[in-house]
Amino acid sequence: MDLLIIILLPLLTGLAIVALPEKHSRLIALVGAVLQMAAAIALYVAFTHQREVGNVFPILFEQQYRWFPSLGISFHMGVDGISVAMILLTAFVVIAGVLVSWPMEKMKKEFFFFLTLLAFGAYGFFVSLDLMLMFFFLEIAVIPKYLFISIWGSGNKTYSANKLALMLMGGSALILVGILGMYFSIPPESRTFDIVKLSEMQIPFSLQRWVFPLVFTGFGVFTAMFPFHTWVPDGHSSAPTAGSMFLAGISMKLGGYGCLRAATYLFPEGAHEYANVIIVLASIAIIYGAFATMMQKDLKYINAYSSVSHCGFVLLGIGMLTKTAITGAVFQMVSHGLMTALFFAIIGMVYERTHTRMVAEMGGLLKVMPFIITTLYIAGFASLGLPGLSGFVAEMTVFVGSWENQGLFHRGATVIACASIVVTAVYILRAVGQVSMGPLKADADVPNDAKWNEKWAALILIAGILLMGLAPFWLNELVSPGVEIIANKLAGK
Amino acid sequence: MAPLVILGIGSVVAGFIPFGEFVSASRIPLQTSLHLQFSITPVAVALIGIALASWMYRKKTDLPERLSKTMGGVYKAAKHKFYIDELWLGFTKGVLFNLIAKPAAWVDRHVVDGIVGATGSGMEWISDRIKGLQSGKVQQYGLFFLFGVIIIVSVYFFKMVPWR
Repeated sequence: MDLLIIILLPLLTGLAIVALPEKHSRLIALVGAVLQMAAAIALYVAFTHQREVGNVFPILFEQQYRWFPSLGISFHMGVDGISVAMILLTAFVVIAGVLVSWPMEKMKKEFFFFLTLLAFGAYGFFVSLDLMLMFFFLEIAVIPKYLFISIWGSGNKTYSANKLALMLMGGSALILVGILGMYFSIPPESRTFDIVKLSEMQIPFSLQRWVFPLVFTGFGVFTAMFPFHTWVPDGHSSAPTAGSMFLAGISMKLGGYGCLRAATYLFPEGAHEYANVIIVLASIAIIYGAFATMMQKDLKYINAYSSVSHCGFVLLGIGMLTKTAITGAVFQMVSHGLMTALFFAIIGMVYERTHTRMVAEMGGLLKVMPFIITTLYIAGFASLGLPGLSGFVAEMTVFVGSWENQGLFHRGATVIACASIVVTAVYILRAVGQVSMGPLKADADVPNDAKWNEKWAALILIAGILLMGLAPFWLNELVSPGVEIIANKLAGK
Repeated sequence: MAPLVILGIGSVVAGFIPFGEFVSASRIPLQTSLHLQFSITPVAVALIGIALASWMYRKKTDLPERLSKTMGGVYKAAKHKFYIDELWLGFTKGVLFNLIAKPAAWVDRHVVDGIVGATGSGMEWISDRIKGLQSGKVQQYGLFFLFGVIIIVSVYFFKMVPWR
């Protein structure tokens, strides 16, 4: 399969949105999102077919074009199972995001263009096999976020947009310093940014020791690593619905994927050196994020803080350095992407009808909007790790993988992470119960349920959650070989 | 009534279904044995309870009320399910909410986010202080340049280069 299709589709969609009249923008965005979904599914089918016919090469569908040969930068693309899983996740969130934004009226053309640009950045990032190319796509995905919040956002949007952009740019700067430092520290004749070539090199420990923390922390900022998570609550709560879906559903996964692909895979000895620090920070994010969520009164803040906690599982899985735990981290990225996008979509729908996001001002909404609130329940149950839904599969895999490590430190961190499930159950059930049960409180003057576009958006994401929750084996088969290569690298094989 | 009947029939019949065969990969059930001493006691306690309840409540008498008065605190505690719900609620509200969640949320807003905010304000403050350095006066730039050269040369001469 030609990977150019994956990145050209959103780019062409964006160009079509710009070129054609504004009244067609949302339709073009939807057609583009459907085509992107079709391409992602085709990629999955082609990838699994290659594996079935016995192609065991770790990276498939590799393509390389000259880009900046004098600096060792090339347009190198290729996918393993982890990238395919992330591309599928992006396709799900993009299509749901476009559907949820269907009634968008303010600067429609620009809105759908930036939405598509975000998708372009994400797809490009996931297929990149060159650190500079990866960085390039990462930056493409940052700029639209700033504009999303500052133009279409709500509340303290200027502050939130500035904070998000500055913190993410700070993270990017760390990544850039790290990869440039690595580039200039290796002998001139073998200098490259190519991930495949770098993975075959013996990068000295003295170099890994200082490059790894820079690159990992840089990507960690994107995935809400404690204490660099404070852009998350403000950014998510001020962004428009589709923006929040993208931020939490895809953007935070760029960080997790980068931590895995660019930091852990390329600098395994550095990963071993700092694994305990990662575990401590991840455990803090998990439990502290969960407790901070308990005190939130705004639905968007609840989901934003819970994202800090849930993304902690991604980092915990990576920090545990076992194959099962890293598989769990990838599962958690997919699961969190789907359920948090669903959560934000539902919050947007509720806000549109009740004109509030404050839990205390809502009540009895199940009576007037049964579809929306039932979906909120599904998102909530997925978030608290109910078996049958994606959250359970992901968190359980992280726990099992973490427990594989012997010793009080690793086991203690696992217990802390497990304990967070109880706290999650407390805040989710409390919020969902208060919103849905009891007498009708909020200003639901037009008590209408979900419209066709909202129903489709929710159903697509629910389908993903159920697909992963009920039949996790397909995702396991998809990502396992890719994870195994990283685990082997960590084991020094 | 009907659901209770269905559940009753189900509980009688369920034990005869060989579930053990369905849950093991080899379809060989786990070895289990019946320990009479463990089985007789709970069944006997349940039967005694059913008999007592029938004796007390089949016909309306003042016996339950008299008994409840005689038993005092024990009766009250049993009626309130030994205050397990209250204890749990107290723990959730008093410990989880007030002692952990509240401080965590406060620390996040004021300390962690406060440091982020202070970094921003600090940058603004520094920028405000140093903006005068870009005065456009060549003489001033020349002076800075001269100072820079003096510092570098003196560091070099006094072998204070830290990486040597």
